[in-house]
Amino acid sequence: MHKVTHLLKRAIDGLRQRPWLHALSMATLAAAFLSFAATLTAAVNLDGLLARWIGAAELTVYIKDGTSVDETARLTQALGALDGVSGTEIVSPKTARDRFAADMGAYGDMARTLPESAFPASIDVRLDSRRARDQAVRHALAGRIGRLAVVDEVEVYDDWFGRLSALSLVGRLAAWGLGLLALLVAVLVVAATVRAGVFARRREIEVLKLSGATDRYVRLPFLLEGGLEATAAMALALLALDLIMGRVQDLAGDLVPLLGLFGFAKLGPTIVLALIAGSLLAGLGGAHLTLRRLKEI
Amino acid sequence: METGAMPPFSAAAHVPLVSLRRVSRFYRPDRPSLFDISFDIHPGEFLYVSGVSGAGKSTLIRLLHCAEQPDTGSIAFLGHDVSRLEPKAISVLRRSMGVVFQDFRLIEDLSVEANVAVPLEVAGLSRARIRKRVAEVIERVGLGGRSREIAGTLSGGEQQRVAIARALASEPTLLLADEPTGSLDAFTADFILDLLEEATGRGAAVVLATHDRMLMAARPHRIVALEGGRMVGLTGDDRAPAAVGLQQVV
Repeated sequence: MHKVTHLLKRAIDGLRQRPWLHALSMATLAAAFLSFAATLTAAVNLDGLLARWIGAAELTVYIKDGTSVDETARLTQALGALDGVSGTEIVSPKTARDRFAADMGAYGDMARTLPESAFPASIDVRLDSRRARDQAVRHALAGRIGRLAVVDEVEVYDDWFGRLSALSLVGRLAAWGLGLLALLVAVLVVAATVRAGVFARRREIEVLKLSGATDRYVRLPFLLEGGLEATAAMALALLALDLIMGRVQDLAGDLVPLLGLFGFAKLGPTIVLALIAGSLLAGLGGAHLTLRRLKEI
Repeated sequence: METGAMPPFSAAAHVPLVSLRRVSRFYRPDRPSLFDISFDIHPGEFLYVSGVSGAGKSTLIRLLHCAEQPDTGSIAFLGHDVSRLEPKAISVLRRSMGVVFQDFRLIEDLSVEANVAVPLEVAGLSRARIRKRVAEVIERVGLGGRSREIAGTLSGGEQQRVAIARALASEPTLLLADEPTGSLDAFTADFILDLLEEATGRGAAVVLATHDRMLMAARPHRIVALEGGRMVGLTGDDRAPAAVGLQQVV
């Protein structure tokens, strides 16, 4: 225990001896980690949006004006019996208007002043998940339903699904790209900081070695210093992201429902832990890279 | 004292503490820094290594401190050849040595006590034992009450006393001093030499590299004389080892 506290003390002494250097490198790391975490959050939200949209109606069957309630009910029953359909729901003009108003958020009151006749009756059709993602299946089903006499139009949402899926993919790729970049930045910044630390403490290293310190004893505090610095930078970045998201939510709260979200999703605990562990490894890796190449140690 | 992964050294009667046999060290192939040096160092003895600048005194001290390995020949500690030791074992071996340089080599932005504590921390002693031993040894070198001062702010003589305190802190079996009094006034130099001689009283061997003939004349001990890297003289006979505290060696 004494050895561990001694090791920690030497690592923290190293951080305290050059506060500006460490503050600068920590700020650089935090900026890199923040851009990564922000992109990851955007990708997570985009995925959430996509999941919610896919979870909503995959097909909307608009009913012709003048169709009776009985005919609509029979149609709904018939649609529900089709192979691959997992559920149906009649959306009356009033329900359609209320949903629209809810989606409009702060502008919902304005939407509620519109007449019900502006919203045609429709039936939401949910497909089982395998068929919902198959464009050909959706189109074939929409074609069959569209030929029915009481059906005015069938919406398959292809454009939306396509765009959102592409955006989600781009978001995920960007997050991974930025993640790799942030790791690289972390390794390089920590390596440079540790190198500067070794240079600044070369007399101390010399004295330690004169006194019989093993290479491991000399290196460990520098390794720990690199790990601590990167981890602290990640913690700082996650804290900053949380604050920024809170502020954005306050500012854009009225717009969030328009996007089909109840609020911005934050990174889950597993991802947060993975990010912190990743930053720790990057810090240790950067320090190790430098120490391996220095002849002082 | 805890010494971590210790090489399998143990005291044996009549075995010199350090034994050099035909040791040579070449930095340039045509000009040896040390050539064909052989002598023994016994526990409790005070040995001068004398010679002018460039004679090879510092090289010999570095070899004895295992900071370098000889190009030919062997150096053995209690009969164990250093060249066969793993780097970690050499580090552990160094914990039984104290070393003092002319330029002190202190960590100047640390306090006196923090400097003196370094070898004890490296050896893994408990905080309480470190505090006790540091206080004792700082008191012994005459710096009691100044232990919290920053080493870099002290005078040259005081810094050398801190360096001696650091070297003595772990009660080394071999004390190496490379021109330790070279930059000090006569009074301080005398005090430093008193401290070094005192260490032999508890069984430590002291090797002091110096070019100062007056000093050697004033305090006569065995002398290894070097000239151009060669041993040109060895005063006194190799003594039988004194049976003192050898368990602490390495």
